[in-house]
Amino acid sequence: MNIIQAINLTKRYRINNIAIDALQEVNLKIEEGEFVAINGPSGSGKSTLLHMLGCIDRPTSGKIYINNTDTSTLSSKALAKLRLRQLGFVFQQFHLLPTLTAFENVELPMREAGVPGKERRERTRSLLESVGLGSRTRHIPSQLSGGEQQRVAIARALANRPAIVFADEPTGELDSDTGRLILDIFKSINREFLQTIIIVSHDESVTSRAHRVIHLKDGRIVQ
Amino acid sequence: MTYLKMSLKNLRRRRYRTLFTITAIGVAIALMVLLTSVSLGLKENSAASGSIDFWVVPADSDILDPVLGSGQTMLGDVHSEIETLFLDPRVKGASPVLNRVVYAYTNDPNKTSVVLATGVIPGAIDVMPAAASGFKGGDPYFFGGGWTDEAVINRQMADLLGLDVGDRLNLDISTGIFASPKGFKVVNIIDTVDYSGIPVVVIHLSELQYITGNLEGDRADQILVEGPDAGPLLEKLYPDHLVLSGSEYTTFKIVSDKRILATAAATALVSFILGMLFIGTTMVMSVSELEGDMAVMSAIGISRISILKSVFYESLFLSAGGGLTGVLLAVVGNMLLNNILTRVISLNVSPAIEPMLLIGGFTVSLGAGIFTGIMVALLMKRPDMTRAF
Repeated sequence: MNIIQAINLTKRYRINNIAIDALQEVNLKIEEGEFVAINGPSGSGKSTLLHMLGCIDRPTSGKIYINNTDTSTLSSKALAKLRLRQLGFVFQQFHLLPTLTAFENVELPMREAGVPGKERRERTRSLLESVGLGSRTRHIPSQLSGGEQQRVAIARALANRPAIVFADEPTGELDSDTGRLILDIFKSINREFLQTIIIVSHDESVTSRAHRVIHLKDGRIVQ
Repeated sequence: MTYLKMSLKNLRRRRYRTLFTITAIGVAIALMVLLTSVSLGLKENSAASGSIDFWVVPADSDILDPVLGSGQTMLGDVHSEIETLFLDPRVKGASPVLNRVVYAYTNDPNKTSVVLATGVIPGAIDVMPAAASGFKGGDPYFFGGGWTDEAVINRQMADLLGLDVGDRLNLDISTGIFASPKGFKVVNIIDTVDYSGIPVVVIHLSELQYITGNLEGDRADQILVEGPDAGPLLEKLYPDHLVLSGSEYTTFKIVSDKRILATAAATALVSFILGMLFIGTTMVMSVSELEGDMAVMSAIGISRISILKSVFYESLFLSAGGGLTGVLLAVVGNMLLNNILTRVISLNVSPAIEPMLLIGGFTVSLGAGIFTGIMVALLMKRPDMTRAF
C-alpha cells in the first residue's frame, strides 16, 4: 500500500525575478514500511523534496497524498496536526529545544497531541530507554553529546508513533561510529515497528542500508 | 505547564536582559506610585489613618480641600449620628471630622499663620485617642460642659509658632477688625508621620464648629468609622451619602481632585508606555532569537497557538516581575524620601503608601505586559519551518 504518492510535483522559487525550478514534475510512490534514501548532488532538490513530502512547504503545482489524504486541500492548522500525529522529523543539527530536558523534549509532541499524563510519561521513558538514554533523561541538550542529542531527536520523532519518519542528513554532524549507531536505530525502528523511513543523505553508508535509493539531479528523479 | 516552564527558562537564559527589563519597568512603576503618593500626601488633610474601615462623606463634597471644600455640602447633626452608630455592636469606633484652614497666632495678632485645624471627638476612635493626645475624652462643650481650650499640635506647627506644651495660642477664621479669636492651650505635641505634612492643630469638634460657625446644625465634613463589618449598617443609615471603604476612599481622593487625578493618570500612562516599550523591545529580541526554535516547534507539529503561548507568557512574567519590583522600590523609595525630607526640611510628604496605589502600580505593569504580549504575538510572522532543515 502506498503511504506517500507524489504526482507531478513542481516547486518554483523566484529569486531576483529569476524563476528557479527546485523540483520539476516529480512523480514517486513510497510504500508503507519502506526505508528510502534520497540522494543527489548539492542543489539537486533533495531538501526541497523532503519539505514537500513532509508538508513543511507547499508545492507550486502537483499533489501529494499521505495515507490517501490529498495534502493540498488541507489548511495550515490541519497540516500541523498531520505533522504532529503522522509524521516524525529528525534534523541534521538535532534541533532539540535548548531549555527543555531530554525527557521534556520527547514528551512535548505527546503533550501537544493530548496524550494522557501517565501514558505520556511511560512512553517517553520507554522511548529514551530504547535509544539507550534511560539514564540521561534529566539532562538538557547542552549536557549531551552530538550522538546523544540525535538519539533524543529520534525518540522525539517517534513520540506520537508516526507512520513516516523523515530524516535530513541525520549523520551529517556525527563521527562515523556514532553515525553507524544512529543508522542502526533507524533500521531497527523500520524493522520492528514497520515505520516508513525517508532519509536524505550524501552518506554512502546510509544509502547502502536503504531498501531503495531515489537519485535526484536538477530537480528531477534520475533513477 | 511546559510552555510556562519554557518561558521562564528562556528568561533565565537571558538573565541580564531580563533583569534590566524588570528593573526598568520597576523604576517606572515605582515613580508612578511615588509621584501619586506624594501628591496625595501633600494634599491630605483627613485625620484618617490605617485603623479606619469606612469614611462617610457627602456625595458632592471635596473632602480633600479645606479651602475650596468649605462651602460644599456637609454632614449635619453629627453628634447624634455618632450616638446612633455606637448603638450597633459592629461599630467599634466613630468620630465626625471637620477640617478648616484657620489663622493662628500667639501674642501678636498681626503675626498670624495659616494652619489646618481638625476637629474630632477624642477617645471615640483610635485616630485621636484621648489618652495619647492629652485631650479630655468626648466633646464636653457640645453637651453643655465648659470650653476645654485644649489643643494638640504637630511638630511643624510647634516650630512655626514657637510653641511648647502648656503655651497658649489663638485660633480664628478671620483677622483684623472682624476677628473674635478663641484661646487654646497646647496639651500635647504629636510627632507622628501622620501629622507631619503641614502645620496642624487638632481641637475638640464642637470648639472648631463654634469658631467656624458650624455649631448650629452640628456640621462636619466626614464621619470616620472603625469596624470592618459596619459597611451594610452605614449604607443603610446614609443612603444619600458616600460610604467608602479603604480602597474606595483612596480612589475617591484621587478622582475627586483633578490635580491628583491628572498626576496619577499622567504617571500611569507614562509607566504603561515605558513598560510596553521595555517589554516590547525585549520580546522582539527574544522572538528573533527564538525564530529557529519556533521553526522546529512548528515543523514537528506544535500548533501556532501553543508557540504564541510561550511568547505571551514571557511578556507576562516580565511585567509581573517589573510590577513586583516597582511595588518594592516604591515602598523603599517612600521610606528614603520621607527620611531625607524629614531630616532636611522637616516635611513628611507621604506618610505611607496607600495599598490601593501599590495594587494600581502592579496592575499598570501587568496591563502593559498583557497588551504587549498580545501585540507581539499577533504581529509575529509564521515561523519559516524550512529553517529547521
